[in-house]
Amino acid sequence: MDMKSEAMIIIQCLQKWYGDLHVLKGIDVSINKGEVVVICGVSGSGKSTLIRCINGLETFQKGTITIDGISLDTNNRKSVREVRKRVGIVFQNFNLFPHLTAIENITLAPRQVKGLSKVEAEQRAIELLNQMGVSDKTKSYPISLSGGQKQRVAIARSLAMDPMIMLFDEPTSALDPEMIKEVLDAMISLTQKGMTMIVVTHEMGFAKSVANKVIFLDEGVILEEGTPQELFLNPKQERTKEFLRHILT
Amino acid sequence: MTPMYVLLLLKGAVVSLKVCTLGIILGCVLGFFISLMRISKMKILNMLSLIYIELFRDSPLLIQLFLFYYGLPIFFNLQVSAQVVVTIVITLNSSAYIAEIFKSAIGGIMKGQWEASYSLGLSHLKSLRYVILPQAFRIAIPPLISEFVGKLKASSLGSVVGFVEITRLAAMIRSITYSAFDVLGVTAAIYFVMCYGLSRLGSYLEKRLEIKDVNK
Amino acid sequence: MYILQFGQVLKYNYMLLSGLWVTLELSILTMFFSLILGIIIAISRISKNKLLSAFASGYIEFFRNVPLLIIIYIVFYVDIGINFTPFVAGVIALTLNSAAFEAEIIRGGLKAIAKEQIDSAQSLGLSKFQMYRFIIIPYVMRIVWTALGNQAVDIVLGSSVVSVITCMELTYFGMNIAVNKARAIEIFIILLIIYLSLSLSVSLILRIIKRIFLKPSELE
Repeated sequence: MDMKSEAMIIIQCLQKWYGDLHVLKGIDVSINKGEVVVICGVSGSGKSTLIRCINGLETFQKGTITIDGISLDTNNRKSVREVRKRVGIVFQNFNLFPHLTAIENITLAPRQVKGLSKVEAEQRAIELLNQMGVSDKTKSYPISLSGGQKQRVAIARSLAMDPMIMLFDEPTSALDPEMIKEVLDAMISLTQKGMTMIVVTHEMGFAKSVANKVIFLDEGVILEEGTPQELFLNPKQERTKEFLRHILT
Repeated sequence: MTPMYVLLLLKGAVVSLKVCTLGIILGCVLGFFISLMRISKMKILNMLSLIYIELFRDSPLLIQLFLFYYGLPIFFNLQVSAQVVVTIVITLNSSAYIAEIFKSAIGGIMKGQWEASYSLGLSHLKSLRYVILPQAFRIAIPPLISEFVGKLKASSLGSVVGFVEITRLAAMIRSITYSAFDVLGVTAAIYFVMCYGLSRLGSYLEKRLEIKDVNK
Repeated sequence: MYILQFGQVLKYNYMLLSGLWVTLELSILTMFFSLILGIIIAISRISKNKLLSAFASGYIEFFRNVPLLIIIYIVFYVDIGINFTPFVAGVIALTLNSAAFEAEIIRGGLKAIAKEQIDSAQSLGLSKFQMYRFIIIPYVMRIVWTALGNQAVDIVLGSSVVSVITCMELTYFGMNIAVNKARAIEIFIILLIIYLSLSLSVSLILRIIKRIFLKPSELE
């Protein structure tokens, strides 16, 4: 019985420069199907950049990123397109389309990219809105939604394209404290459905309850990685200890 | 300054309005394509559109009118009325300003909108069409209205090349009646009502298109 | 096929030079006076005195909604006991017109200063004076300067309209040469180039001045 999961994302020796600034200094990471990986670190450690490299929003100069067997090359539009079919992303600032209602936000891409009919797309959208707990906001515009509602609509929007992998770039950092839980709960329900997820976040409670692996990024390199238990209870590096001390206070 | 003259001026005002409306609408269409050229990654399209825009924005409208007034018959063998010349110049001139308006409106859309759109798999063109341009258009409305008002005023220069509209009629009436104050006063008032009215209409349009927070 | 013959019209360079000089005179005088008038109107507009504010508002709306050509006609033809020469009438009309637009620009700048003051209230330990001097005023000035620069170009372009009351600036000579010598296209192409050069020069000069006097401060 071969229980080994396939590696969905393989990152090797990834390096990125912003002009003269060396942002990512050699990242090696492998993520299996169904895994939930949390990336944490201080501001400027490169965690946002790393996650944005995975769906081609950022370019990288050295190394490779392979997603579901496809090698990502930001100069090759076809490879970027193929990767984006498989990878969904949720942004810190939601980036909902303000001129469209919630359901229109969700059905736009399925209709325009996948060619779904309006009826099919709306059906799926309503399902997802239900799942995310915002079914009463179907016809609302983003301006009328709270931060937590906006983010859940944003998650539904990405899910509508049936991605294999979901990236979350600090999904709760722009939210008022009372709304963080509803978004995290939505994300947890996703993990229970077996979604492969990479989450950049400071929410250690989330990491402890659902993460398979936690990666601590510092100044462009992976300083430490391990299960939540390993990292939180037994941090090996000084910087990791410092970081944990800082966020757990 | 008899009612007959006032009526004449009003008729002239309607002519100005018609010509301007046509010119601006055509200018919007042309300006749209020029703005696409302006934001294109291809250097040559970029440069050509920049030259076009600077040509029309940095030279007097009066000179542009004269150039087309004399140039159309000479270069293109077209014997056209002053009204057509004015319409053409308004179209071309406003397209330059409108291209900049669109460019700035598109540029004003936050990067995150592009990123979200691309991440969902929408192509550049589809992103423009479904995400960026609808938002840009809303942003562009106030400056577009402003441009319309500007051209309505500028159309008065058409009188110099013989276009019979309100200003030309005013000049004619003035030379007959010698009562400059009356004629010009009424003319100024008519322009004021038209332009101010259009601005208010624009504000109303803006408010109507605004997506409001239902919770407030 | 019509062949452009510039040779014929270059004979008139003395006229064009004379016209150019008048255009420059018109423009510079207007820029000077309209700025002063514009500042006065802007201050009146935001003054607490309701009468002053209303008057300024009316002034601005009037000149924003009535064409320059009509203003020029009014100044020149309406009998108020004084007879203005075409040149003087031109300066007056251009000044009155431009001042309205400049007043709005300046008023926008003043509002921005007031707003920035509120936003920077929880600032970096700078004294109020320092905050104004190093951050707020330079920032607002740069925006206002650019807008005023555009207005300056509009003044130069607007000077061409004064030709209709026989003020002998560039466009006036252009019209005359065109009518008398049937080389209209060449003359207007030359005028186009001259005006383009003027506009771009004005923009450039003002941009250079902006860079010299309004350098971004390191505190921003």
